Amino acid sequence: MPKIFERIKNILVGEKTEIVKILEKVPIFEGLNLLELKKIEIITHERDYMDKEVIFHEKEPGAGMYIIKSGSIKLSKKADNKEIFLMSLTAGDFFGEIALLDESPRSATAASEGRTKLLGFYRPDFLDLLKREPKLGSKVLLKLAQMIATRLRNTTDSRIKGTPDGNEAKY
Amino acid sequence: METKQNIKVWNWIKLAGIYGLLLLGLYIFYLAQDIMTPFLVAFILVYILNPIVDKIESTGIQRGYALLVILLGFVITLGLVIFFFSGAIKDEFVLLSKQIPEYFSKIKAGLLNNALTLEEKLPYLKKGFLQGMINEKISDLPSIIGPRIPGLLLSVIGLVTNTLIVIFITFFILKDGRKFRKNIIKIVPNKYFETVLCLLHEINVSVGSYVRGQIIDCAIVAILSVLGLYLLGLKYAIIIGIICGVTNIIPYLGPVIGMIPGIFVALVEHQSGGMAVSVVAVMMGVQLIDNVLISPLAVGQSVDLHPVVVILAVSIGGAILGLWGMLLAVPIYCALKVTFQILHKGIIEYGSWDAI
Repeated sequence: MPKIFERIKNILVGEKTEIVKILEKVPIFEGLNLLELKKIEIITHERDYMDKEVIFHEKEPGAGMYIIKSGSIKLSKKADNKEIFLMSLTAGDFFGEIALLDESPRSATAASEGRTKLLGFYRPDFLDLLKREPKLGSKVLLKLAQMIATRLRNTTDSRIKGTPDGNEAKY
Repeated sequence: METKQNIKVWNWIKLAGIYGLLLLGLYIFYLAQDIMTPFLVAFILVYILNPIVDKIESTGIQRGYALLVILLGFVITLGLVIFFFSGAIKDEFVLLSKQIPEYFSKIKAGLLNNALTLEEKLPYLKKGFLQGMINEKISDLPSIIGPRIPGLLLSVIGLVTNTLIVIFITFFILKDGRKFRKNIIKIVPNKYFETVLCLLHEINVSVGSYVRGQIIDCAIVAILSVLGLYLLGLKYAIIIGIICGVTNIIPYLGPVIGMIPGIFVALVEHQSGGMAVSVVAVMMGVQLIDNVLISPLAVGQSVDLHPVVVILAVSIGGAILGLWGMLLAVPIYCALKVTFQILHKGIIEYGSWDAI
């Protein structure tokens, strides 16, 4: 009996694609159903990167966020002409999400380590989605806002506690 | 220091290269203009219909069904328009088709008359020479139109096929437009991807709001003109009013072109200079209302263009592509302007493409 339902569901909304499986694990797309995830899938762009290719440079105006499909990404920042390594990200992680909100300059440089596949989710498409499908768009927007609120709270907390070198509070 | 200078030069060369490619694209477009017409019409329809489809889709209906709703609505509206106005429009056309031969003979008689007086005044001209020439060149109307009828029929068939092509293209761009765009920009190299994506989006917004604004504006101008001319008692008020609305798409020059048929009918049909002056007055009134009230609302601040630039663009467009050029001049100019703004910001100000 459940198999029939499964089949009907497959006919109506289609099967889970590889990209949907990645998307549903990303926090800002949490709680979306399959149909909604498919709508997100349509507006994401799959990009291939070679080893050590730069995805975006620090201080460049940002256009959107990236989700790592496979491979890994190194985030770094320039200070006094030296490159400071910030962190390494692997499959399933995402970065650059602030650029979904405005065109502010990127706070770090992102470069690939080894052959990497990314899913790009860009601001123009996101704004378009908000206009076209306000329900779905506002779900994503709410998650994004919550994530940034949490980050802000953490930053405030660590500022009040006072970190020894102050680095923590910067990012 | 020197490398920095080099990079700057390189950036400008890149920008120039992109513009070269754009110009090449426009040139290809110019060469292929004849087959482009249905595509252009389809694009205009897409720009008009897309927000409506989006709106329906936002209520939760799937895009395919939303399109069906639109198509049905379109057919029904067209049917209603034909049902209610066909009588009046047909009457005008029938009247016009009866009147044209009459105008024709009137003009011919006038020419013959002038020729006669000319021949009397200039004694060295052979008697009947000018009249013979006029009679020879301007025979009666049927014998002029007659040989062209097969061509006319062919163009009617062409019109039907073109209409079907337009509907077909419009439907599929509305349905799969996003997928098309996604697949097209897939080939853009990683480094330029963000810029190109934002660029296409900006162009889309800018051209889209211009086209939609203009169409609404034209419809209102057409309605106002028909009303005004009808109240004035001008013959063929509906056809002339609609012509005014259509020519209104061409910025600044369009309204002037639109006045010509009205003035012509007033002078030839009504044989009154007063009528011609009133026609001009009515149309200027419509333009005044349009420029003060409608245009700012419909087209608004969507496109921030200086009148001088617009006139220049329209003239250049007209010289290159004729009527289509005049229509497309402003949208193309908008697209180029947005392109330049974004590329300048990306390449020169931020130097995002520095590392090669």
